[in-house]
Amino acid sequence: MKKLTANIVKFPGTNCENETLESLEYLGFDVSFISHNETMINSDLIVLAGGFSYGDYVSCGRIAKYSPVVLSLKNATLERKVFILGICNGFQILTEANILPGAILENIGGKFICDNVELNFLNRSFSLPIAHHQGRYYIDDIEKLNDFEIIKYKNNPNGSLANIAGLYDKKRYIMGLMPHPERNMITPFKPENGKIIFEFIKKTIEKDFYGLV
Amino acid sequence: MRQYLFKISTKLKDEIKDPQGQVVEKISKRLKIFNEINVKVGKFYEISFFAESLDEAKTKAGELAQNILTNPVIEEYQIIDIKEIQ
Repeated sequence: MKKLTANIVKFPGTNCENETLESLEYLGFDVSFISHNETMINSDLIVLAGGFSYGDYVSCGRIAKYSPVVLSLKNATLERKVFILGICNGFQILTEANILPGAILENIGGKFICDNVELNFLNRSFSLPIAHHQGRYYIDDIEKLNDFEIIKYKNNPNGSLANIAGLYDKKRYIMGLMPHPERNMITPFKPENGKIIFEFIKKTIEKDFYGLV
Repeated sequence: MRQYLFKISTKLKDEIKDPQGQVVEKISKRLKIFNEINVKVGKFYEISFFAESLDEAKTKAGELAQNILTNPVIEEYQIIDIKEIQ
């Protein structure tokens, strides 16, 4: 069977790329890092991993949205099928760049939150770690999310609108989420709930991009 | 080309809760400086650059503010001062 390919973007300040690489290799992806200056997108999955791109100067994801790779992402989805995943800082970049709608603000309590949180996604309940200071999702009109699958917090930790922890645009294959699936993936980090997210992405690519069931 | 100095402030829109502002409000009340107070925390930028004219300078400063200094979904900006410098 064809080995799926994944690229993980390394911005100056990205710091979750190694866990993300191991998680995807564990599921059988052929994974490589690409530079933030890359403009050719030719993998099945592209991941904007967690961290502090460009030091999060001005605001989280603000500078990264003008990087060559992010500017190329907007056209990449038009030219070929590619799944885009933004985790934490990656989600912030996707909203800043208007690739996903809305914006992400400082947590309502003003504190950095590092915790395991309960989530709901596609009728499943599971926990994943979060670690962020700016994770409060906001959108001016919630109806803009009508066509999205929403990853929700069971107990809202940061003041996100409508308990939103992440978004999945199923038409354009773009997912952004504040929780870190790569930090709950490979033992000893039981119960490996990160697989729920990564396996969903893998199955979606296999089914929708290559017609495999 | 002439050199201009711009002073711009940015802050969250009024309808969006500002946790840093809320902390300043809380402490001000605790210290009895104010009983009623409303605070919005923002950022201040001082920018100097060259442009052909004041109009061009204003346009460019606006572009900078809209594209890099703020996210129009959640933030707004105000040009505080603009002047030509020698």
